Amino acid sequence: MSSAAGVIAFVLAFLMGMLLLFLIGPWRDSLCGPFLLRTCISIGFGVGVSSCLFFVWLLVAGSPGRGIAVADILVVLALAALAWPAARRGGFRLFGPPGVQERKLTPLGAIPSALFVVIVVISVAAFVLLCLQRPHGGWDAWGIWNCRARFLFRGGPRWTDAFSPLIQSTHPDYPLLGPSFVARAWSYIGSETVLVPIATSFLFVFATVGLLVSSLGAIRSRAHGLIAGIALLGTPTFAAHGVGYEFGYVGRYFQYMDIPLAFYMLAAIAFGFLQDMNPRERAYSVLAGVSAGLACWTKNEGIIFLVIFTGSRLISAIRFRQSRSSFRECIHFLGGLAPILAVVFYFKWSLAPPNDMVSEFDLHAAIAKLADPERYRVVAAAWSRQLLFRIPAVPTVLGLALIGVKTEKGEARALASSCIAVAGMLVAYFFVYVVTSKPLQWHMDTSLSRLLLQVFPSFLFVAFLLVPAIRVGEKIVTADGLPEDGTSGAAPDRRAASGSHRSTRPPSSRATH
Amino acid sequence: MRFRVALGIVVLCGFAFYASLRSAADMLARYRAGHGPHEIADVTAYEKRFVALRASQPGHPVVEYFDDQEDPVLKVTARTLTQYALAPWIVLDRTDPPGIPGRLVVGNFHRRLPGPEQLQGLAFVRNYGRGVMLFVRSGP
Repeated sequence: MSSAAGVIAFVLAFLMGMLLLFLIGPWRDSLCGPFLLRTCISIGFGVGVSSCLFFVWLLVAGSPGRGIAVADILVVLALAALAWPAARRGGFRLFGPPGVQERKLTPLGAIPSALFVVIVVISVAAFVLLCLQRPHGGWDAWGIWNCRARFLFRGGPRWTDAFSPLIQSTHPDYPLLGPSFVARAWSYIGSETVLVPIATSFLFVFATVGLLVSSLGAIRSRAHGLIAGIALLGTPTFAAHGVGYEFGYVGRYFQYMDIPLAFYMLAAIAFGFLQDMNPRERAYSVLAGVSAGLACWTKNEGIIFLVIFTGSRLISAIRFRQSRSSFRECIHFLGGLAPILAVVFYFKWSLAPPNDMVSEFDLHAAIAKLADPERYRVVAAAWSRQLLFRIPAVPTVLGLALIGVKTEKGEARALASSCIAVAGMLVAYFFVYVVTSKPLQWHMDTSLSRLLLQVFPSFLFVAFLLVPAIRVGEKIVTADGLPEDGTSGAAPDRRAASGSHRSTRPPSSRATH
Repeated sequence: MRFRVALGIVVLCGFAFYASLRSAADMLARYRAGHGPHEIADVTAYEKRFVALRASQPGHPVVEYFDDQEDPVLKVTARTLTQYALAPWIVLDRTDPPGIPGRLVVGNFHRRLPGPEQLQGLAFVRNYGRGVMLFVRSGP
């Protein structure tokens, strides 16, 4: 009974995400196509939105309880009722509209898929091993996130004790996406089980990989996405204390909120890219807004991301003189962002104590630190060590450099915006360390590899957009079975992403290289 | 496909596979070896020590905390695990605010029981076994 209730909690969350995506999304075309992309986004949105709803439930009802299940069912029914007219018109297709381009594979084309499946199997095995070894997760998982979930679930009407300034070591100001979602599922079940945070962690780890693979697959090529997915899953972190290699995305930060944050950052950047490629389909801006809002609801770094991401969109709009259309995009972006940001603001304003780094911030000390070259040297050295040894990025960068850089015509704004967002996050994190009020070495030792891993999927997304489309044994064919022109690499795939699926161009002989 | 592109793909995938297999092997070795020098072996077993204590005190008390850990990392770990086990209790570090008479104090001992100097200002309430004790503050 309890396990069934737990499954229902996850299924309802997924349905919420899926219906929300259907209502907002450019469902008529692109997102109907890549099933994996829809699934991954539905998972992320579902977890995020149901987490927000549980928080609102706590505020309204005063304590957790099984009543949240009734509220969730009502929300799902309401979303389904809103979606029903469009679905009746044939708008809702789980696997994509008929007549879209499909990719037929030659035997050679099975190689990237096979490699990807192997690395997924290794990663799942590692994940299972981790669950057996550390069912409560890593240090931050039980010290911060799952501890907070216990406060919410066990606290009854005193659930706000989770934000007591007396327990600063549990960082009571951190946002609640993870704890709230876990406490919600426990409320369904009626008891605590480590399976809930484990399942949540599993969903985010593999949804992040799925999102990277499917978004690059839709924009560039299938092999392109799969190789990026292999690079992401294969990224190790060389852990401290000489314990050897650990899976960057599976193991090192098991049940931490850094990976959900990475998911939402990647989703926002991918939707921003798709928006730039499809200026008329403004739903991408709404989806980017929802993603950026959920990043803020996941971790405080999400607020930095929101500022950087918005800035990157504005800078690219000004640079490419698209301020009028960008204003409309901005309105849509705010439409997706505002409801979630309202929840975040309420939490920060009325419940959360001040963040320790913010309350310790001293402008004069920060200016002095900014003027101190020694701090730059120490931070740069730590970053170099991380990128060379702890998260060995050199083979990834070398591999991408060998493939080469080739930008597609018409993608300048989209690429610029994505690159600014990723580079901006790295620069922001660099300067956070330069001005930190914490002991510098300790601060970097305890957080730098996590922060870099937050940005890593987005970095891979942008880096793989900059290399020419990789096609391994892949032919694009139109609905009538004729091969599509694939010589330009990205162009046919971009149409697949934008929804202009029906090709009227004459077939060409090759689509592989 | 050009040779350079193929080489780039081989470098990317080759490193990813090497790192994955190496990670899996290291993870398996760690699993067999138990835990690292700065880790408490089993969170599940650790928090079971506090079940009786939590059951004995209903409500949401604010309690002080002290233990016998000397390694600073293990000390922080033990206190944080105690907070995790006892949530929604609020577990204060003994050094945080000045002690308030009548406030409960949780003792968490791993190797040795507390000496008289550690018990100054505390009155013994109950021993829950496995190193977990409850005191009440009788003075500053």
